[in-house]
Amino acid sequence: MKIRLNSDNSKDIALFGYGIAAVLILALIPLKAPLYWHGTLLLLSLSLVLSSKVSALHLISRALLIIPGLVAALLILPVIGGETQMGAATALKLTGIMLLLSWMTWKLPPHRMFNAMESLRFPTWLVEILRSTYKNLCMLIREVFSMRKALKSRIVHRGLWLIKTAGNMVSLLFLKTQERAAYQIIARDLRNHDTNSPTMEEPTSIQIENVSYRYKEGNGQALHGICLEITPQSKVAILGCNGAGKTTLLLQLSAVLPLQSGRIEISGLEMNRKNRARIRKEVGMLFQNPDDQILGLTVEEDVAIGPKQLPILDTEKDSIVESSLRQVGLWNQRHQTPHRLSGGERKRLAIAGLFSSGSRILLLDEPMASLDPPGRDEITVLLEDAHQSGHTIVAATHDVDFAAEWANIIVIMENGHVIASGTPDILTNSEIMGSVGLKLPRVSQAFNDFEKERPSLEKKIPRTQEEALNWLRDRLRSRS
Amino acid sequence: MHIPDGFLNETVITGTTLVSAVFVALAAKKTNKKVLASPMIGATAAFVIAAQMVNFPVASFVSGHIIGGVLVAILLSWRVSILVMSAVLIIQALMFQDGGVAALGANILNLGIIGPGVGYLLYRAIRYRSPGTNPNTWTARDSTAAFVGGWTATVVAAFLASLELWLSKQADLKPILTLMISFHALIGIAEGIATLLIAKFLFYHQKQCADYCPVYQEKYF
Repeated sequence: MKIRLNSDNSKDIALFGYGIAAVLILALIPLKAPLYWHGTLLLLSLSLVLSSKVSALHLISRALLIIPGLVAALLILPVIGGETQMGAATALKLTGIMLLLSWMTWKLPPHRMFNAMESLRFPTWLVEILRSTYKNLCMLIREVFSMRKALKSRIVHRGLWLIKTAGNMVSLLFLKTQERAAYQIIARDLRNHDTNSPTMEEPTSIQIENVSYRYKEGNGQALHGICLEITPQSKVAILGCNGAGKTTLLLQLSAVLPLQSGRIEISGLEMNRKNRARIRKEVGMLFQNPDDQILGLTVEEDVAIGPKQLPILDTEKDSIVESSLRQVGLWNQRHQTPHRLSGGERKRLAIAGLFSSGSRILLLDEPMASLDPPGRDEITVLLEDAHQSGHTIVAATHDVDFAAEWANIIVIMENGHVIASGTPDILTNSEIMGSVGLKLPRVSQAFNDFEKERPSLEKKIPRTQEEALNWLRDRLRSRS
Repeated sequence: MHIPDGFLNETVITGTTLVSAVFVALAAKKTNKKVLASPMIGATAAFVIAAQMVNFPVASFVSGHIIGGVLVAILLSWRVSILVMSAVLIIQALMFQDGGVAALGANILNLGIIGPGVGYLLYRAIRYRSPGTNPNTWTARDSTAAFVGGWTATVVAAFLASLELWLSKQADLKPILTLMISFHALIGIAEGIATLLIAKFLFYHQKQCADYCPVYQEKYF
């Protein structure tokens, strides 16, 4: 029986293997066997736990959980017909196995436990299901706690109303879970590339001709005949209110949604079934909620998903992972679990995943959503670096200020149509912006109102802070 | 609910593990590969674990929690629910000290295979009793079907657990049966209500689920 070993895995395999074997031995000793058998094994487990310096808190929390079992074994079962000796044997077994399990879980964090299981030839589908469950559970527990707080703060009367609202809460939780699973399916599809295609050398341009899309259920016609051309190495911001079709367009570009009508060409590749895998390698998408796209149980494991699929040496894979993590500044947290990172850090982790997959076109869905100001600064710097190193970046957003400062091509969408596209000066055009429901960039609003009061010869309204400063300086100079 | 370690003797452990392993392997084999590899099973299993963490008091010092097996069977199908509940029980045994590692075979059999199986069977029997039943509406009969399914799953699981404990010679049959089933009949009421409420809610909000996440029901290339 071949067991896959690499140097850091073998210790975990031994830990897990011996741990489970010990548990099974203790469990399978006949209940009628003399008590000192159970006692000896219990003492051995105890010595194991003490010698491994298991944290007292960990041990006590597990010990508390077996108290109902001990009560049942020692007090309840003998009353209803069990023998006291068997009750004592049960109690000893229960305590012994609890000690063994707490030792095992102390030494082996979950992701290493799953890796050990996989190396020990447990069925792969089972280990994958366990990994996916654990990952979703971490995210879900947070949500459960915040929903419980909401329940406590909003419901005052107890009784049936509380039960019904709790039931609603559980149902909503289920809906969220299914939605998250659907996005994870997309993310997984996106990150599985064609391993044999060579690196693309053509310039990364995108051409979209007369593309329309209709959802089968729900929102109906999402895109009406979009025509766009995006030149290599540009920073494109697609602006529009919610429901304008921005996300649909991005999903079409990343070959997730099938092409219903029209033609898309990415880096010289026509979008069709044959080129789908190569296009997915070329184009990387960052979802609005980075949790949906983080598929690994540690930071390092997640970034390694892209390189793992390439036919290159392990050392090269490691170096790709390291360079991506250093680029986003998460190298020191490479052994952390993703759900312990902050929102900005998770976005950076998702971007690192895109870098490591070798995508040259980055599609970002609301990159600044739910980020605090330091987080926004981090992401802006990252995007600037990415642009300098040759990536083409397309960001769908409704944040006009971000687009004003960052983009060099602007596309404005409404209800599935492209209303305007061109240089960022569109952003200072109040007619276009007003007709779509967007506001001018903050910097420009005051200047726009001032121009209306006192029209001057120069019609150019400043868009960024620098332009505003220059405008003011010019005005003051011309005054004096 | 979950049988902890140390309560079952070696014959019962080996017997139940073998039977559960066969069922789980068959379920995995017969499930569509795409579904097996998708995060749907993991996400649902995580949801069930989270839902099982909500404890409610049943009698003076006993508290119970819902199993959720029948709910998953109604929403996904019995085959997939076997896999979901196995994942739930394995993670609970390894990480939360809830249910024994050696007793996994027994727990999976009670709570994952036979319990939800019987509940689901009753649900379908009541819901689709007459051939003209319209599957696109939710009537009072469907609500009763869900409630009965949930309640039966709990009681059947308790019955099987008592049987396994009796076979391990831990207690006499009659007292342990009465003890377990009386408590679980009460817990079963909560399970029935939960199954009923959630199934009804999700039935009416299937379309909203698709709106919420437009790609939920899209077919990819």
